[in-house]
Amino acid sequence: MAEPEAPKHETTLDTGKQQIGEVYAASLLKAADQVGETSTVLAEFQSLVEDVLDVNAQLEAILCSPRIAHSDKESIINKAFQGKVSTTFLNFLKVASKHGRLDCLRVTFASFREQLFRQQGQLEVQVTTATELDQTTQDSMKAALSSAFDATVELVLSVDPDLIGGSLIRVGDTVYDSSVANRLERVRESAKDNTIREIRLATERFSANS
Amino acid sequence: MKFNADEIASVLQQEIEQYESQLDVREVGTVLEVGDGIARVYGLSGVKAGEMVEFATGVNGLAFNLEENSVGVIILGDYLKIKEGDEVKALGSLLSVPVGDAVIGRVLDPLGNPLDGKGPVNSTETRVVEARAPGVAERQPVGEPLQTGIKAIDSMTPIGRGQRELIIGDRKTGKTAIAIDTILNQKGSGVKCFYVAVGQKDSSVAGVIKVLEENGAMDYTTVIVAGASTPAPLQYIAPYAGTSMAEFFMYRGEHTLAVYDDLSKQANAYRELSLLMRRPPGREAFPGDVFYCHSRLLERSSKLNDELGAGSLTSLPIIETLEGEVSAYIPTNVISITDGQIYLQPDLFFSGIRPAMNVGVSVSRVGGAAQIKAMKGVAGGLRLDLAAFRELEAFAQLGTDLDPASQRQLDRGYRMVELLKQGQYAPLPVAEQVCSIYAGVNGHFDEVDVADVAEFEQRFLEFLRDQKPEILDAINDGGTIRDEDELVGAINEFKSLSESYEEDAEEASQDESPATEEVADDAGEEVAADEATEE
Repeated sequence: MAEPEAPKHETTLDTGKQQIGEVYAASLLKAADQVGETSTVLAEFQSLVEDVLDVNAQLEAILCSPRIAHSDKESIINKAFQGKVSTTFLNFLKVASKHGRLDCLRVTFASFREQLFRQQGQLEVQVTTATELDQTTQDSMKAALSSAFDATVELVLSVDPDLIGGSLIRVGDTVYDSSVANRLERVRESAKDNTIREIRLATERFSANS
Repeated sequence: MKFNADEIASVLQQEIEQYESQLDVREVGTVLEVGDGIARVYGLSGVKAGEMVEFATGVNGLAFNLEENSVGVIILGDYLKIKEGDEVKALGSLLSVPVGDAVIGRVLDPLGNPLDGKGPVNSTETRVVEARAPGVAERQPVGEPLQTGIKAIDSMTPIGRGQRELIIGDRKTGKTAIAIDTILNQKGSGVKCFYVAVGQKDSSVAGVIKVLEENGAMDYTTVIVAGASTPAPLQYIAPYAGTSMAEFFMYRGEHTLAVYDDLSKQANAYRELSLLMRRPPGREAFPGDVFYCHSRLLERSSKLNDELGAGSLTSLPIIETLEGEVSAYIPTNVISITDGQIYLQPDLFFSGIRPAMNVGVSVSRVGGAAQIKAMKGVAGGLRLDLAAFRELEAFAQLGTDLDPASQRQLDRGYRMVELLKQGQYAPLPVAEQVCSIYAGVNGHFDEVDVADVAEFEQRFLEFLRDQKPEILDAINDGGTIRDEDELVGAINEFKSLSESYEEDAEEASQDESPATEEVADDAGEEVAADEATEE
């Protein structure tokens, strides 16, 4: 059976999970803060999501399954991660497992990163361009955005040739669109609307007979 | 018309030259799930309740539910093309519809798009759909009549301009007919009419439009259609859209009439939306704010004060009941909101009393203030008389002998009931109504056979129109019966005329009768002959 086409956005939002994830992320952040390991935990968490869960779907299925007992999951976690990750993160995994919340790992990660960035005054800005940006442009863009938003900006770059030129900058839910594709579309719209209006106001001017 | 391509090209060129590139800043979100006319959207963190959003397909929506992590959007259009993951853009504006003279005579959908194939609505002005109702200081009491042209209503439950009068009844009891007759009667009165069809069969709406067109009523009427096949969001906003279009004229100092046909279907659409949005269901599964849904709509009907131009918006909401159950949720709600109701009953309808109005239960809380003096004078005691007649009639059915006075009252009652019957699409001018009710109440029809009352009345009114137009003119101009003796004289003159006419008619029928008998005999023989051949 063919795989269904994946949705374009990254997370499928489950309101319930989202809330649980936020609570776990907040606790994890505080725990990591106390021992001063926030960046380690972030790196470990990112690696868990990207290098383990994304690659090994079966492991994710096992962790998520409510039918597998906590003791079994704990032994899996111990075997796989003990000694390789920080104690804080390992404990977090075990606590999540104990409460049957390992299915919320991904949302917890997204929320953890967001909360950490907010704490550190960092801002994630998604920049989409038609072609790949060279390092100097990236740096100048980063500096410009940092001063504009008054925060340390973390760029997340992506390329979409459909934009033709210009850039599409997304901060949270706000999009600053200066792409050529968007500008062309807007010229088209306004030209169409205004021409129709002109025709309506003065029909005889456009008549071929006059 | 042929278009001149060069001219269009020059306008386009100008556009491009003058185009100023501005940074496009927009607030966006992504569709999480979509279906049944609603979508759940992630993002749009700054969107406000009731704000318009635009989907990637160009379809608009309204932010309906603001939740902690998502926004519930009702989709005003084709929701089948919207997919999970599509971008949604907040427009920062409220839903509005085109208003102005361009909408008059048109058939529109609730967003103001034309449905009648007569080209685009050439309107430069728009008005928000969810406008605030005028406040206390902006109004004045209702005091000017809105003539429905229906004798039973104009005499006993008069409707004033700015009033809200509910038309309630079971299916097939003539609710829409009353509303349509009222619209037809506004011809020449300058009242702009808005007929909002919600959740109805498109065939019945087409029928209504045809009637309006045939009677020349489309010159001052707009029809807003959200048929049964239209998604629930559009059915829900249709009455608000119609009201906005009417309000435009009201604030311009004109008089308007809005018919909502019918609000039970709109309540059902709103229930569907609310349940899909997971709002908690209440009684009959309607959401808690279904009362507010109707009250804020009907509060917008008003009579503005003189400083604001004294315009008015009269509304005739229609509610369909099931098996005469007026104590269901929506009927009680709307009864309590409106300034009176016209209650239509199936048993009256089927016994031939049309309009099938139950006189006892129907009321108008504005009352005599919304009647011209002449009508107030003749119809003052009509309700009580009819109530007394109903009581007497029930008593008389027991077969008891009645004293002559009661018998007279009974006879009068039968004739009044007959007099208040009226055909469909035949509204009567108020002056004529006054004359015929005057004649009925004062016993001038007593010697006419009950079965002949309708015809007698019609001939009487014809006589007045042709021979005594000054009596009708006096009522129209002065609002009162100038001289009762004059009217009584006219009635007597007509009676003596019609007696002689009837004698002539009788003689004529006697002459003809042998001939008809012969025909009947022939027919009988033929049948007999046929039977014989078959044998």
